[in-house]
Amino acid sequence: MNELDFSSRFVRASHRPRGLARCVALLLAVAPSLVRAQSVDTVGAPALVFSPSRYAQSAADAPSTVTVLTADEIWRFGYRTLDEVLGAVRGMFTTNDRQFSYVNVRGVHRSGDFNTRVLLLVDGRRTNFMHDDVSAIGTDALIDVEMIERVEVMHGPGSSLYGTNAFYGVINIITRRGAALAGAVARADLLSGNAARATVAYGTQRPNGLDVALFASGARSRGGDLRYPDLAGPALPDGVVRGLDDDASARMLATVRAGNFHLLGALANRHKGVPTGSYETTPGDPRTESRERIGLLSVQYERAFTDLSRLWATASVVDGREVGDYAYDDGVLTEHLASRTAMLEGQYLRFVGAGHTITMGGEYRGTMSERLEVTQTNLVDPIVDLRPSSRVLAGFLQADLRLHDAVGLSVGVRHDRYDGTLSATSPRLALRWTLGARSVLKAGYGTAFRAPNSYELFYSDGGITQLPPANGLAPERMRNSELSLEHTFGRRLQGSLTAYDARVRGLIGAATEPGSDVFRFTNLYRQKSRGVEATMLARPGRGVVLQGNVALQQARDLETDVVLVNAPRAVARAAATIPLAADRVQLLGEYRHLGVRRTLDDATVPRLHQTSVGIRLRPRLASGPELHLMVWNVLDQAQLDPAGEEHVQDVLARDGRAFRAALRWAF
Amino acid sequence: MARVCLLLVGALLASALAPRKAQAQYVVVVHETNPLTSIGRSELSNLLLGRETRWRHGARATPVDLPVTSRVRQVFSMAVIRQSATAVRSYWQQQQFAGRGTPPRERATERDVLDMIRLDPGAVGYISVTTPLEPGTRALVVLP
Repeated sequence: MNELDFSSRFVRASHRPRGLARCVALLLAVAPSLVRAQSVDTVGAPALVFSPSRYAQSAADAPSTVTVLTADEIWRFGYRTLDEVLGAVRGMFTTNDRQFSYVNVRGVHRSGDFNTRVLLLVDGRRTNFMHDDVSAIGTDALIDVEMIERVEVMHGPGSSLYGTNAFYGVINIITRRGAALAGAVARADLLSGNAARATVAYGTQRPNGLDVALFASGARSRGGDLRYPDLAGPALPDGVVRGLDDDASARMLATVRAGNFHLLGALANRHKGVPTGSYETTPGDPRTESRERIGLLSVQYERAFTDLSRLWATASVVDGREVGDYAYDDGVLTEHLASRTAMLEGQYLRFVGAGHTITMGGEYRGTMSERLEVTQTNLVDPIVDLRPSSRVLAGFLQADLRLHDAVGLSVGVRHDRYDGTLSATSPRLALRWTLGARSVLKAGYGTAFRAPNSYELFYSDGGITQLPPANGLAPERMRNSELSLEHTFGRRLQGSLTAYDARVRGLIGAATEPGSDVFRFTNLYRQKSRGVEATMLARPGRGVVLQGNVALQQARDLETDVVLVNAPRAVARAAATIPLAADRVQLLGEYRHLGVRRTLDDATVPRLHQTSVGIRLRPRLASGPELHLMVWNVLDQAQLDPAGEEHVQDVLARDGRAFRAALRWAF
Repeated sequence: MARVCLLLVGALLASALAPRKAQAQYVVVVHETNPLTSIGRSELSNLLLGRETRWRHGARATPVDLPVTSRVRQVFSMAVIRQSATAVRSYWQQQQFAGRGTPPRERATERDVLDMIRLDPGAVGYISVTTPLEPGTRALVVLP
């Protein structure tokens, strides 16, 4: 392995000074919201949301705008993984490089960012790994879509309540309860590409309130042959990679609610072949693969007192392990990144005076163990062998003030202190104004941060290619302004309009030492993004539901004023549900659009049009069997995404037309 | 931070100085067959908050609320539950989210409340003292 191979392999958590952008930020968001508290771009969404304030409240009262996608929508539109769910959210789209999935929020996703700038929660518990901030949203995700009751996506910064990672948004997966399952459910999917998946679930709620939900699922895909002309060479004469896109994963989830306690245990394992020759590995070598494991164990105590105040206390452990084998001509390089993190959280909510609410809390997170290790088969000693530790202590306070029956003000601030040195203070201010019975206007200003993680702070191979930061790293910071208007036009039409402006400074990237190839992480980039997002939900009659959202956005590097890589000007989605035969048959259609995007080599990928159609058959509405047939990329169009820095290819192609038949049976 | 603090103080002041409306008086109403003639404040509060689901005599209780914007509800809420109507609404939102119950049914007008009580022997609600009772309903005395 030469030095170039080595260095390119290790620029993992992003950030090569490729003349890309720096940070994000400024905004104005006008998002219509619906006074009756339904999320505007969803169907049948619950009136309550949890994520914007860390307690349940109506969406109209929330200080941020929220998109909610329910289990029914996820099933109806055939979403297979969390990244496909997120792709339906306004202003978001996802890409996949056949190893990991990446979410792009409001035009921003830096190459090499493994979703570290969004916070991923499961039932309110943080799941981003502490050692490198990664959140898994693809086939490596902790939660299977069949386990999801709904997904809440809070738009904009959330650090005033959640701290690091709550940068561009907070994604909260609410798992299904035993009461919702009310029996056993089995599901089997057969997909094109030699793929299959199966899920079994059982849930019950007893008269004494005991609620139990159990899930197990597995998925396997052999993948097809992939043509990469850029990889053609002695190891791969025809440039066709065969049989290396395999993917196998398994998951379990158990939740128990008994009295004031809520227990949650979840575990996911994945094994993925890597066909793309990333990090300049030997093309077509089957030894290149990755293995991920994530586990979450958590217990929460919740109590409401006689004065209606409420206390939550949560203890959790998150266990994350990412192992990658990268095959080169002179051996296999294995990177092993892992951490086990303990989290203790306390929160207290109190009602004050005529309609004011105060919520306050504290949080401790610390790694019980952390491991950053790199070995090579022909070397005795590890190239990297670090056992760092991380700790953070934080406190937050939010006051939701009712200034008038129609006007509410939310003021919040959180302070995080890392290992007694690095710290960040994140305020948020939001004003809500209910205009008559049909409109809500919200204006908000907030800041967010992402603290440097162990990988960025400590990772070093002793100067072969990478050294630790010379003067430490500061947290990345963002400021976001947002204005939103939600409006309901009668009973059949709802809409929202949001404008935002976000600026980011101090984004962490890798800078090479002058006159050498050795690089260090440093606070390098500044970016700005601004845009307007609109959503629409229409029920024209006969049970037909039409949904749509469109985002017009611009994300630029503030130093060069160049549009960011993979940042389309337009992102849009339209979806239709047409019931037939008294809703026993549903015809489904979805269209997604991405505008022209720039690649790392300053080329462009054309507009992307993705059309999928499906049909859902259910002889009995309440239970029994359901058959769901789905076709993705109906027109079999070529679809390209800009590739990340770790690839020789400048663009990577998505799958062509794909089919799925899913049978679900509720007993 | 100083600006945030100033805004917070300003908002609290504005709220505190806002003119208060005249207090509306309420009367608690039950079905005419309800055997109770009086009820303790905390007992009634527990019924409204779902902490008790049955009357003392064993019948299932069916509380009914006016809208959270109703002045009568606001006064009743402060007097009986000792919390604002919006706090009680927030309490029920937490309960719903935690899967621990659903709030009492709401009726848009006091007339609708009386109609519901008239049809349900376990129902309990409240109306303004200026609203006349209907046949099939009667008042219940609330003890401190």
